[in-house]
Amino acid sequence: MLKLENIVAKYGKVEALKGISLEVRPGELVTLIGSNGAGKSTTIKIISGLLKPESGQVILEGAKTTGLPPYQMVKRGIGLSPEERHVFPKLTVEENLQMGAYIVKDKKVVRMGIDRVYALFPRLKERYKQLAGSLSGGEQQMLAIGRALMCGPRLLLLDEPSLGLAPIVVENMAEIILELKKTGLSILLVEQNANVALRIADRGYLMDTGTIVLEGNAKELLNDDRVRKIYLGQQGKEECQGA
Amino acid sequence: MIQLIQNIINGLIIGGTYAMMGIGLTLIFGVMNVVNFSHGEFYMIGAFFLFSTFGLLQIGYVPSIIISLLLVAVFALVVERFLLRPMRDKPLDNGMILTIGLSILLQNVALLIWGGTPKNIDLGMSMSSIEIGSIVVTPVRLIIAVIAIAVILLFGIFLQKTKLGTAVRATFQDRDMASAVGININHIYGLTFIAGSLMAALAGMLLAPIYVLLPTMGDQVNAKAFAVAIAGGLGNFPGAIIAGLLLGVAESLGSAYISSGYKDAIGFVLIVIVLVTKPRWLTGDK
Repeated sequence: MLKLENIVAKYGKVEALKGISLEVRPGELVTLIGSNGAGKSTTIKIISGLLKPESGQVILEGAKTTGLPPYQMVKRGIGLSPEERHVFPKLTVEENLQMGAYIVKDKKVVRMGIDRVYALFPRLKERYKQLAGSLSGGEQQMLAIGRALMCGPRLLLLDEPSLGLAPIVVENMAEIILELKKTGLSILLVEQNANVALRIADRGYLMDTGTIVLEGNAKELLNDDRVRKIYLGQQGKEECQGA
Repeated sequence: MIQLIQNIINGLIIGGTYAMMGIGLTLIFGVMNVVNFSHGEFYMIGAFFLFSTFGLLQIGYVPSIIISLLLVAVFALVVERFLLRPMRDKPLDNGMILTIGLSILLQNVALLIWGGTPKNIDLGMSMSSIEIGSIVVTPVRLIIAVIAIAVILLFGIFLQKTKLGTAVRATFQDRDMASAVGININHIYGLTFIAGSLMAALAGMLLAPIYVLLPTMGDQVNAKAFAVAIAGGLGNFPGAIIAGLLLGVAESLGSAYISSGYKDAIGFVLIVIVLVTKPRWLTGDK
């Protein structure tokens, strides 16, 4: 489905990615975990075309797509739900979804897509006329994912869908992601919340300061000492504080 | 009292064209992040293109307007593609210097082509006034007002109700994300610059029969377009409409009751008031 080969990316002079390679196979749910500033979101930007890599290759369904602009990537089957949601704040919920289907010409198909998103997130249907900027964080997250689905993607990029959500909503989101996977969609899930991400994913990559330090089966990573120490340890601490 | 209403109506008629100018400027800034100092020159070339097509082709006012608008659209497309696009993602000042340069260039090219003697367009239309009650309006001014209102309304509907208009608004709100849902930003930028420039050019064409045409006529109007765009909140479409009408009325009342010498200062007074008081509808706070 998707392959990254030796991607190097820079912001000005700062090297954000130092030659990473990863793969998402058809129908797979792959997660990219790591702490803040590890380069996870940069990786997403490279795949979606928002950032051009210094070197390396992006290969989507066998074709080189390195350096193509984002709107071309949408046509090639990429749906993006970006970090911090980036819904269009002054468009209504429904207009946001319509924009998600910008490349779809057939109005009936767009309508069906919108209804499918509403079925997945009934809350959005209740608020279809509201401005996206007035939604709660969780609702905006639903909208960002719904919008990403509107172009009928084959690879869905989810960047931090749990960010700023209440624990119950996070569980809910995890179920929805699994449900999307069942439809045959390939998914690349970027998460700081390693616990949840590794529980639902098939495979995982652990990133640290622009490199991939560990990769493997999600269940194995969940039990890996390094992962536990760095991420799940923090989780444990938070749970203690919560109790 | 009747005098007052008469002044307000005169103000609203001219204000409609100010609103058109301001909408163009505010749209180009909001979507493209370009502060367009050559906006007034599009007003100027609009008027001169009309002067030439009307005078040379002898095909009447409306067909001349349509041909002139097409010419301006082509010109705007060239400016966007070859001058503004390379400035994209560069600091704001680069675009400012470029458009200031373009403004000077266009004024001087116009001087070369049309010369420095004031021109005017004679429509041969009856100048006798229409009286509605005790209010007096000339047919030309009435037509100007009707076209300005119609264009602004149609453009508002385009932005609010069509897919392309929604894409323009989406690009305005979040450029990267617009690109990431599949919108070709280059098309939106081209469209925005053409639409904004056509607004200015059409304002010039509408006012051409009642004003004199000079290569420097864009300067004054540019100052007014900036007053309207700033007072309405940069990038704020309805704000520009209100500010444009307000400026027209304020100028009309100012020249009637204070002194016509201060007419052009009123726009700047408006900017100062708005910037000092920073009203809520401007800053967008709830």
